[in-house]
Amino acid sequence: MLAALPPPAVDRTQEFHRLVSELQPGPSSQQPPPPPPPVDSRPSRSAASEFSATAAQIGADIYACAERLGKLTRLAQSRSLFDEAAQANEINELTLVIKEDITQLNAKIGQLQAHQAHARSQRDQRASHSSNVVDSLKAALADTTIGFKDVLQTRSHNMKLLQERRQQFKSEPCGGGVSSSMHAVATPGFDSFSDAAPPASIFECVSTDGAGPSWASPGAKPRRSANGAGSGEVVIEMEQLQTQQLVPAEYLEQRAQAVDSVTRTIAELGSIYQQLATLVAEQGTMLQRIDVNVEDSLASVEAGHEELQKFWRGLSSNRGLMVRVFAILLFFVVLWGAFLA
Amino acid sequence: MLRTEQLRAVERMLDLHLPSSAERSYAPPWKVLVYDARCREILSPLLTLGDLRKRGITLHLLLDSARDPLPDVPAVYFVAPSAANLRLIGADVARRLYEAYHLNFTPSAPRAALEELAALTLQSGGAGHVRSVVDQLLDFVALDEDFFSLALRGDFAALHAPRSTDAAVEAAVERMVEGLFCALVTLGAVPILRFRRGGAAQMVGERLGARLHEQLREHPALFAEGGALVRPLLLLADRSLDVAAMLQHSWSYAALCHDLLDMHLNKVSIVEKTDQGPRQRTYDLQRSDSFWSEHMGAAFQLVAADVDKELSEYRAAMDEINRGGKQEVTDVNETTRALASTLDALPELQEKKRVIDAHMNIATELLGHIKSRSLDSYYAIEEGLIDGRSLSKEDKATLVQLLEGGGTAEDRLRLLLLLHLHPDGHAVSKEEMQKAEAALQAAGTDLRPLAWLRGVQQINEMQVSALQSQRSAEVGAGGLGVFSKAMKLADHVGVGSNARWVTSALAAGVKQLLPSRRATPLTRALAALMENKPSADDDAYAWIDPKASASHAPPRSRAPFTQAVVFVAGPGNYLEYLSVRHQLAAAAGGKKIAYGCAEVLTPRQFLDAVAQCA
Repeated sequence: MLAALPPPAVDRTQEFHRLVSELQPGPSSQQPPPPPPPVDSRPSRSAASEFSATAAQIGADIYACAERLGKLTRLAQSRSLFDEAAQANEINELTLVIKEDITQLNAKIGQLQAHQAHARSQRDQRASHSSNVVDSLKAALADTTIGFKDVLQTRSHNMKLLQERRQQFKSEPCGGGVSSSMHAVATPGFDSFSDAAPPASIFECVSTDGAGPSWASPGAKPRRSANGAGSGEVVIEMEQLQTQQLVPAEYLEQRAQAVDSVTRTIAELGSIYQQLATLVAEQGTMLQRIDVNVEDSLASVEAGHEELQKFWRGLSSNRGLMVRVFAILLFFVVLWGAFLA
Repeated sequence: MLRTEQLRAVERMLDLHLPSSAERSYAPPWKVLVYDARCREILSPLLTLGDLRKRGITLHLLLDSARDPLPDVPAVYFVAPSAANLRLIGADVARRLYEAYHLNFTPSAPRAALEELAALTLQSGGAGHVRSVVDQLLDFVALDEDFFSLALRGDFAALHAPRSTDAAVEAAVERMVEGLFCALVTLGAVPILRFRRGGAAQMVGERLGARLHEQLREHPALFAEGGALVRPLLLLADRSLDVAAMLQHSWSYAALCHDLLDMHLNKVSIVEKTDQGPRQRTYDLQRSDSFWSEHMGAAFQLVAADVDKELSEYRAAMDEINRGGKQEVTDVNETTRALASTLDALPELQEKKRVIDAHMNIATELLGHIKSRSLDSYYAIEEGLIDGRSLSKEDKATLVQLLEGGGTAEDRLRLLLLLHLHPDGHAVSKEEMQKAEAALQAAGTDLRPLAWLRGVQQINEMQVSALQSQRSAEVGAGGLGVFSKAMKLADHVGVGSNARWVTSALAAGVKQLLPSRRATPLTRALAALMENKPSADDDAYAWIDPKASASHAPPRSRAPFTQAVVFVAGPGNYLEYLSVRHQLAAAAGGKKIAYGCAEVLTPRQFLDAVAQCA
């Protein structure tokens, strides 16, 4: 793993191990020493390992979750009108999976933290190590959550934009302005027909799109054939009115559900995010210098030393007092012995 | 360039030299960083605690502090290969303190050190736990992209004290060569070495040349990447070239922070008086702070004005937000979006506020010092003196006044020393100087720096006369030789006395409003050497090309240099750094110049160091 290090570093591991094997007595001197199994049988070891194993697992999970999130981001950012239907399922699935992941990871980190707080109430370096691990896990999860929230927001924003664009193509806009998808579902018929019939210019986008026909409705093919002759479009649309009427309604309902679920997910994430928000603020201001902490501890060490000295001084003066008391007592005893006995 | 490279190397070290995080498919393992005091100094201007956490470092501990066992956590060590450190590492391995040990030494560990380490770890049977041993050639402190310090304490005394032994001088030179070598490797460049003969710079130069030559032969991989590219010039200068720069009062922001607030490793501490008594606040002044990087070299009053401007901009932005909240609600969605964007903008504004607050506090603190010590007058007078302008009557009156009772004793001593360095202005009569000296002595000031300066001047004069006779014997009475002699003479006697640049005439009227833009002896030498044309300065400096072998020396190129590293073999400061940086700004054509010194000293620290040499 240290094959060739870039310039300011010079690898000397080989040299070191060669030196070790030269110095090593006995027959094993030929081969480089294999890493011996950790010879440690402290009782705390198992608990500690469990902690680090769990932490590592959570870290890997968060990483996997982030990967999925990256995929979702790419999907959600595509703004094409027509990939939508095919992608919608995938997006919904991914959203659900990621949401599940985040909730689970949050719970796991909570457990880990509780375990760590329970297991070690004393303040030592192990405790601060574990708490730092938990903190960095939390920060990583918080980053993922924020990313997820952003993706969902862009997605719902995109969906609304799509909705608006569709409504612009209506011959008779209903309601006007931004209307929710629920509204669109509530008025099938002409609305939904015009929704599904964008002008030819957008068709061209699709036909140039290498992704192929992704429109789920059976009406897609004839309309694509109309692409060549834009003027014939309306006629074909009219012919297809009957067959298409049902499908877009279904599609719109599906989309309404999607918007709804996105909104719900955002709300749920909100609560998780709330828990993490304080921590994020903490992490965000991690501008602290490395040497500051040490100087602080140095100062406290000095203060401690001073206190100890004060105590010592007090003690020694007490001792002096004691010696004096004893001396006087002894003096009286001698006096008593000399004169009265 | 320098800081970025060093940071990259440190990050690779913290990632255990695994492939960079972009290619990795798993989260970094959590680990512990163990360093010694020197390596902490190297790391602290580079990384914050947050950066360490991002790299998976949960704890950062000093090697010689009490450490608890963490038997399931790997540890990264970043330490000097000293005997004491090796023993401590051996003890750690024996105690099974950590799961694995990734050892990083800076500068490189000698073979004997590795042998000792092998013996120590073998003894306790823990050699297998030592996963990697790496030399990190990072033994310098990168304060900025173009400013580095070797952070060598007390080397000035070692080099210049009359009772300093040869061994001490050797050790000091060796440390400088080591640090400078590290900086060059990190830069990835094999420079052309130029230095003036006689003094520490020559010793450093010759050894560094030999070292580079040897390393190029033994480890060609060290310079594989950058070595073939444009070669920079490395100018090695002695501190005696320009002593005034260490004593002068300054007017630019960074230099004031350094002089008055003891900026150390890009950190400034100010004691604030709060309701709960005095409280120390520290501010980190890094390149990432845009206000700082823009105003480092700016005049103080400009900084004050700009802080004020930033503050009013911030207030306007806040007002905007507050007003936005009161707008009547027309559209729910729009409002939500506006709210979201406001929430996004808030952290940014908060960060801005933090920066403004920091600079406001620093500027206020500086202003307090400047007012109470009338440092603006000091600065104006000293600039005039060093520049060799003849002072006006008023200025002379101010000067006498300052010598008698302006500022602190240290300020007066610095002015007095500068008067000794530049006696040609005849600004003050000998009697007045003696009077000032007597007054300082009466006030109990340490006058050893003055004694040192007189000694140095005597030696310099002797050297000059010796050199003169030697030169005339060598060169004869050629036209160029005479000219060169005259130049050298001028350089030696009055350090910088011949710096009568044209700008001085222009600057005279507004001097109080501008930070020094005057050419110093260092920047002049640098400019001449970078031009790389035959001149008096060019003759005075030795030329070493570490790539050339003894048998085969390639012909010397006369092409001008585009990159340079200036290294002062002794203490340096922000004043000098900024003047070199200004040189960079003045030179057209994107010249890259880095400035380095053995240690960064404030004028007060320099006076202390000088006092030890007297």
